[in-house]
Amino acid sequence: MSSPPPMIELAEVRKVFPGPAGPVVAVDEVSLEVGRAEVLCIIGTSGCGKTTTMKMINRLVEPTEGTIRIDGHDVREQDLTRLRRGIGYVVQRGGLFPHMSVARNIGLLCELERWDEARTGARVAELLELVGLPPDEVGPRHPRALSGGQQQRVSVARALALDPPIILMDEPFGALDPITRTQLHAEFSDLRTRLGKTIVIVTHDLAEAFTLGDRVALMDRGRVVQVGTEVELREDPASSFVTEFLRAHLGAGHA
Amino acid sequence: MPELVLSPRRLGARAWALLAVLLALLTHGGAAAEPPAPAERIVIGAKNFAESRLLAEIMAQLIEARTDLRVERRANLGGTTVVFSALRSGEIDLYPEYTGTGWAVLLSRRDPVNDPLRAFVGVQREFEERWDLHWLDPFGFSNSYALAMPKARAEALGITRISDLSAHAPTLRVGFSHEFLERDDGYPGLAAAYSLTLPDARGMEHGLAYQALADGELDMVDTYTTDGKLARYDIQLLEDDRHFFPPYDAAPIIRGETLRAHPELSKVLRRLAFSISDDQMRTLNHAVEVERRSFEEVAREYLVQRKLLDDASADPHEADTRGVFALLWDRRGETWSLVLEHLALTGIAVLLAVLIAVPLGLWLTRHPRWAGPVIGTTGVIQTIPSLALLAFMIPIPGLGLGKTSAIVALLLYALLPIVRNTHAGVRGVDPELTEAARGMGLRDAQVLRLVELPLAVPTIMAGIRTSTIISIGVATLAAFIGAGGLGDPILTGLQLNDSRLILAGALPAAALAVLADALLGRLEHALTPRGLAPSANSIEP
Repeated sequence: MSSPPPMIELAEVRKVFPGPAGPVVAVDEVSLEVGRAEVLCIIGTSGCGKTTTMKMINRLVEPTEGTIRIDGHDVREQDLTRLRRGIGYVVQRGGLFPHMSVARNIGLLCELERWDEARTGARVAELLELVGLPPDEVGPRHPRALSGGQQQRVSVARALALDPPIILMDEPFGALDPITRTQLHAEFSDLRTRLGKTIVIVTHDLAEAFTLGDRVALMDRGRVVQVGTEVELREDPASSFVTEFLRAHLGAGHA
Repeated sequence: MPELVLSPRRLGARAWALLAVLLALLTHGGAAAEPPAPAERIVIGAKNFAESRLLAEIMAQLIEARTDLRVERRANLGGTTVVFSALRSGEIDLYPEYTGTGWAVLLSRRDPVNDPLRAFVGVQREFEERWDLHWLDPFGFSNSYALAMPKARAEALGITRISDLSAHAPTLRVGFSHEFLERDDGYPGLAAAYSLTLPDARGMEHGLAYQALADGELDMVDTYTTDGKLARYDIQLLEDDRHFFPPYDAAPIIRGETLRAHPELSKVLRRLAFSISDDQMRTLNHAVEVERRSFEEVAREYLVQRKLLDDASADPHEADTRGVFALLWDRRGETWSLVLEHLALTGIAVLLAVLIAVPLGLWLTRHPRWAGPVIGTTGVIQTIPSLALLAFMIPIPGLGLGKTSAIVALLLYALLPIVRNTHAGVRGVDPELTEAARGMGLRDAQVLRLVELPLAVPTIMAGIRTSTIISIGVATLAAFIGAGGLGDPILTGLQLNDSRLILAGALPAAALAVLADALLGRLEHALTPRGLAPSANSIEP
């Protein structure tokens, strides 16, 4: 009896960049699995390879070695555009196109998929409602006119436009003030239970990782040091690095 | 599907209207240059100074009166090199040339020739053998180089002959025409023949040098013995006591081909043989240069007086003393057509430059290895002096004299700012945005069209504005190669030392530049996507 394949699977993935002083190993022998409707947070200090690891999933970065499978299929064997349109992508400061209205930002992929205007319009309105923004008021505005929190909500709505099974989020709440961030964390948790997406979040905030993620992958110098739940990391750290990292990155409130 | 920077209605209407205007200008401005059946037409060229134009005009009127040929005049053709290459390539059929120039410049003969007859026979034989170009009988006067000083200054220093100069050479402020400075029969040869060094000799436009002499800014200029302005200023010609300057007898040179097709030409032009003395030529030059009468009128008057032409209109003409604004007003029809011609030249050049440079700039963003070399090359083109670039165009097959060459030269000048700004504008787009676009599944062409290009519009438009302003300025030099435009009155004004005519070209050109910049500014504003601050990431030139 074989169980269904994991939604995302990284097998012994390695990425070497050419550098001025010889090749630089950014990601080394990383193997990870993300299950259906699971939220995995990849965490680590800057330069640990977490963003590179995520970008290899939607092939913004091509691995030097190893295999990445989505729903059991090697990503390199799929049409690049189809692959990416099946994976929502949210970047740190939203990445909204400043010359397009909020509605056009969200509906852009629908437009490129040749949906008719009415269907796109309805989808945009639905998504704005979903992320808690009034469609008639916010839709025609330009991103510049929105607050940081609103922009990030629009960015999430844009990633959901084609209803992809997977969402990748690169430091999605990193540029927000603490109050907005806490509010968006709550909204995120609410959304994920309603939508059932498989989500990978890259963050450097351990508290955020424990709040949002079902599991956390802790990376250091290109390698995954430990993957597990908050409890597993706390009670059964794989190495002294894990213990040190938790101590350094969780304030008194969590300790 | 609305995309790119503007709704198609907004952008489309403007772009098409602009194109329609440019095409209308092209057909309007280009009409004069269209070649009809070649058998009925001959083209007479002239160098860019008054005497050459006057001789050309005299020949033109005589040919028009005495043959069935239609005569086209190509005045203001750069220097000797430009007009001669035009003759050799068949752009023009004949023009007035000087034996000394033919000998030393065109044949590059180093051996001096002092006998006028030997010089004439020499050039006649060799031009025919080498190029099938024929020297017809000379007009009768010799327009030799001469050195001129203000009479008072010459007397104060006790200078009457060129050999007197050496004693005062270090302190003399000298303005020579560029051609005189370069030619073997000009300053270099003179310096050798007289063992003379003038440390403060600088190259200047001839008309300006005269002005500077009159204003006391210069002590000495080169001039011609038949120069009409000699009477205007109180000037002392220095005696060429070592007989250095070769004879400069003026005569028509004509293409063998033209002569064989229209044998009547040699008979008609022979009527002008030995008909103009040094004095007469000086008087004729004076009439246009100092009395400000038109070339057409002075030429006609001369021909009537010589009974070579019927006395059609004998009304006496008064000297032209109108002020600059009166002149501009009286010339408004002509100025308007020059403005249209100017606009057509620059408009077409910039439009073509946009069509080449924007795609090229975009291509470079995809092939960064080429960006340095390509942008560097367009930069090198821009460092070529504009007059030289225009001159380079003439020998290229299919270009020659006139509008085509001017448009190509202007286009080459316009490339750099547009290529550079297109490249910089696209490269300047926030990489996070392009990565977000690629990550969400936009194809490369879609990233370019939907994200990078709209965001680069202000920068690209700034490049186009810069190019347009440069082109409007450089296009005034297009008159040197017979392309017309607002440079025509400027050039004529320089020859005639008439600042009103210079302004009659320069003022409209400046106004055009200001207007074009304002209009393009509005276009830039209209093209800049809403949601971007206007000119947010534009790179000002």
